[in-house]
Amino acid sequence: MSNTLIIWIVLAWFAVFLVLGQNVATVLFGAGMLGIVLMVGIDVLGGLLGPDTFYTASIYSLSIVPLYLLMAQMLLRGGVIKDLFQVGHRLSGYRRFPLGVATIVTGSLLGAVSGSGAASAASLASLASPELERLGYTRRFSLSLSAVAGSLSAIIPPSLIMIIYGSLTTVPIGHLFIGAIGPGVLCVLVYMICLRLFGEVRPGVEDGVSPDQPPAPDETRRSGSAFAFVLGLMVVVFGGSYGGIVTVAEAGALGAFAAIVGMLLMRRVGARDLFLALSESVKITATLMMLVLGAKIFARFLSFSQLPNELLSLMQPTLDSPRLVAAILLAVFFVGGMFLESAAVIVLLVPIILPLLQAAGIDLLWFGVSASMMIALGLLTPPVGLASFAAASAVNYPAAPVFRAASMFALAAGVVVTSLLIFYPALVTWLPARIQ
Amino acid sequence: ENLRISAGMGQQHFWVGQFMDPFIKSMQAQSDLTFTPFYSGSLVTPGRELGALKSGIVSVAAPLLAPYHEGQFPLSDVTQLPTLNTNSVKETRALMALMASDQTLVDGKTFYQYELGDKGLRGWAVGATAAYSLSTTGKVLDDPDDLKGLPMRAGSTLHTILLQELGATPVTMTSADSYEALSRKTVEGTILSVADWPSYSFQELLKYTITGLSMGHWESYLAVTEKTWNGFTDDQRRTWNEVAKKTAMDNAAYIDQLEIQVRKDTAAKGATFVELADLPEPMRARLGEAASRTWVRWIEQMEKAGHPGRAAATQWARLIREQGGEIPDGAARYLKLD
Amino acid sequence: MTFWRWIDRLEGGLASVGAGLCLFLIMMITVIGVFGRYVLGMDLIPGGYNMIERIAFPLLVFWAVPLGHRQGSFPRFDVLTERLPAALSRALTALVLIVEIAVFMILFWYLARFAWEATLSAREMQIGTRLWPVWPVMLMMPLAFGLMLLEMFRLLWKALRGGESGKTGLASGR
Ligand code: NA
Ligand code: NA
Repeated sequence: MSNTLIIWIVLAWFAVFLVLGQNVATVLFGAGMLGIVLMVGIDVLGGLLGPDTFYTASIYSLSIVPLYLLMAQMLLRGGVIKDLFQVGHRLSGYRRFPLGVATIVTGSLLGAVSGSGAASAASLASLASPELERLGYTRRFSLSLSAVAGSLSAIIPPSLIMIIYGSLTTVPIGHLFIGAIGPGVLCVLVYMICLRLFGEVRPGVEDGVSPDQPPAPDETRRSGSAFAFVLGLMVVVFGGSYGGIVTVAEAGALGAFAAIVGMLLMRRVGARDLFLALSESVKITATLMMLVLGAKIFARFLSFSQLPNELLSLMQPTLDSPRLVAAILLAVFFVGGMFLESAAVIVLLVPIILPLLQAAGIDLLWFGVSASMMIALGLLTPPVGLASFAAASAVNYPAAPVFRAASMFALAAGVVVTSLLIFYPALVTWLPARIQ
Repeated sequence: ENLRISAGMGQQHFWVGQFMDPFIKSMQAQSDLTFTPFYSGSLVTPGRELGALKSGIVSVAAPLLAPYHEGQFPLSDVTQLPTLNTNSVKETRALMALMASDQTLVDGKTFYQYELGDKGLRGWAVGATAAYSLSTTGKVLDDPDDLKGLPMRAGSTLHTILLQELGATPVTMTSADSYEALSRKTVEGTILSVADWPSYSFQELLKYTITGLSMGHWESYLAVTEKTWNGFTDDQRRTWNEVAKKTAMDNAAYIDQLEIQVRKDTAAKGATFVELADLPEPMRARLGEAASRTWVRWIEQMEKAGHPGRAAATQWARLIREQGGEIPDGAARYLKLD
Repeated sequence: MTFWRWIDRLEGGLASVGAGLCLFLIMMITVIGVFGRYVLGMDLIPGGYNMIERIAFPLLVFWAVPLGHRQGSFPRFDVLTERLPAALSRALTALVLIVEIAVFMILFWYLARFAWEATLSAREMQIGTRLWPVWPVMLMMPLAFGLMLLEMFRLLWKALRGGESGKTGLASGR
């Protein structure tokens, strides 16, 4: 059988079972194994499957993932995020636009402590969306805004997909986190402008209405202490890691530890919450790791097939203009993000395009941050924008209208942020080059 | 027939850019063999070359990283024993001599048979790394107490033994992982050859290095299975032997040049290199003792595990001396070399 | 019935207790390491890095994955199947499951062989300055994939029998 035919068979397998709803990890395992068997025979499976599975599941840099998840889980279970939103709400004088901004900022804080854009979107949909509605935004717009805010978790550090990208490319994860700050902040700004421009309001609803019951004084104190705690935690996690005192893994462990101790001392959680937070974090991690394991086997097939090399020779004429190559590849990541879970996009595409990036001399740090940005946008857009879906399904609302406004935000950020990333790469690379 | 040939590292590494690639080029020019190269462990992760050759995932490992195969090439670690005044060229010649020698170590087996032949492998030396040295991110090591409990990155069992003998705390991790660990002081130093620094961007990170005492050299093999080798014609085999040898020596000369270059470049940017001879006496003595103790412990460990460690170490020590290198005093006495 | 309840408890225990404890250990080993380094100026857990990499993290993954699988949290693209008529959707579910079972049987076979060989040769790894057995960790791979296979057979049985619960285990997660 010719190489080309085998590649087509494997791609067909991949597409068919993906569309039929087989889980992505199994699709990767199946397509990879089929390809390897067709291309070199069944004998080599024995040398690949066992060692690849074990050694991929024992990559130190991936052990960072559950630590950040644990920290986020503790903060969510301690009700800190909710309190943060209330602080913003009150400070804004219960007015409409500032509340929208508070939602986006809460989302980016949530993004900073949690991995999953969909989970962030879902919690914002139940937390922020009712308040947004009360002040006059339409329901579908409120949900879209929750999705937009939640999607920031892919780009605002610590981002799980950046941890995975770093472990696949050996770009230091700390550098990726630092590099993402500029584009992340920019993205938040663009979303604020979008909120001003596209904000969809029910006619005749008065702005700036306080809730019927003003918050009790002890509640105010409580949310104030939550605010101070998260601020302190940020200093520990980001300061420690950016200041060159601890590694990204150590920052994650310290953050999780501080969150556990803090929530227990503030009596916001009990032993049961800790137990649940631990088990939820390991489950999400294991699910992500299955994707990574499947992708490893699929990547072995890709290597045998020489597909990355053929792609390289196909792209040869464009290699002289790295910007063009980068733009094309980022578009591929965006499309990937439209269809697949964000981690799946990273594990699937990075092995294929890594040789291209190296040949075109594209900075891997810059590309990692930009690709995460593309995936964040893909979380919002049809057909499978997981953040939009999660926001809609959290309150049993149809997804299509939520997609509409969310896509507008994604489009605006896509045009503005992407072009800035491409024409001013220093936006990403300047900061990491200066901090130890 | 087209041969799949694979390296665990990328083309920027001297074993790939300066060995595998030139080897392929010369072989394709001088014979009718053709190769499909795979880089950066895309097919075979470092330390899994033996299994990959056996199960036919690849036909040629360039290199087969013997030190990464935990316990599978026990005697090949001789090249990691500490020596004085050695460089890549001397070390590569010594290893070629060791592999070609018909001196038996045990049960009528030579070093070559024990390490490669018995596994159904054919192997050739690639250029040895430059001398591994002890480097820190800035901590000056001129008193034995400076080393006490100091977390240092170790890349192999022998590094671990040596660091233990020095009183430091060995932390085993890959060089790639040690970048962040070094920059955050999770470990305060590493054992690595200076020529290897650019491969891991350590030029700005490592500030203090002790030279003159080699913490061993890493060696690896160009390897194929006996079965693959038997499929070649006599012509192809002759060309292969010649090309492998020439490429390895070119590789070694390049590595020695690179070492000098990196040392010059980083010294200009403020890195300090201290010769063993210029260290205060207590520190010099501690390093010498630790180096000798490393030989003794390695030999004892090998013998206990049933491997001819003493015979291999003795033969290796002689070959190193023949090439103009030296063996730590204590080790020489232990092996009764004089 | 009792068999499935037993499996359910095993998977729950492995994930929540076993893997949860591994995560707690990873955190504590790291925190203690930082504390020792900056406060006491010494390495309190020599080889902690290697323990996390080769023992705690792989155990965490292989112990937690069966429960993640059972609860249907593996990401999938389910937009199409959700819109199909029920009968067709069930037939496709069965087809997808049969293929999935085949894929996992092959995986299970090779993982079991790898782990068994590691066990027979009492495979070890370097932790700090000592050698620790690593084969028990490797044995968890066939355990994890075996448990997932069991769950797939259960789902297939349900899909083929056509009970209305045929899709519950497959419901989309995040
Ligand atoms: Na994040
Ligand atoms: Na998406």
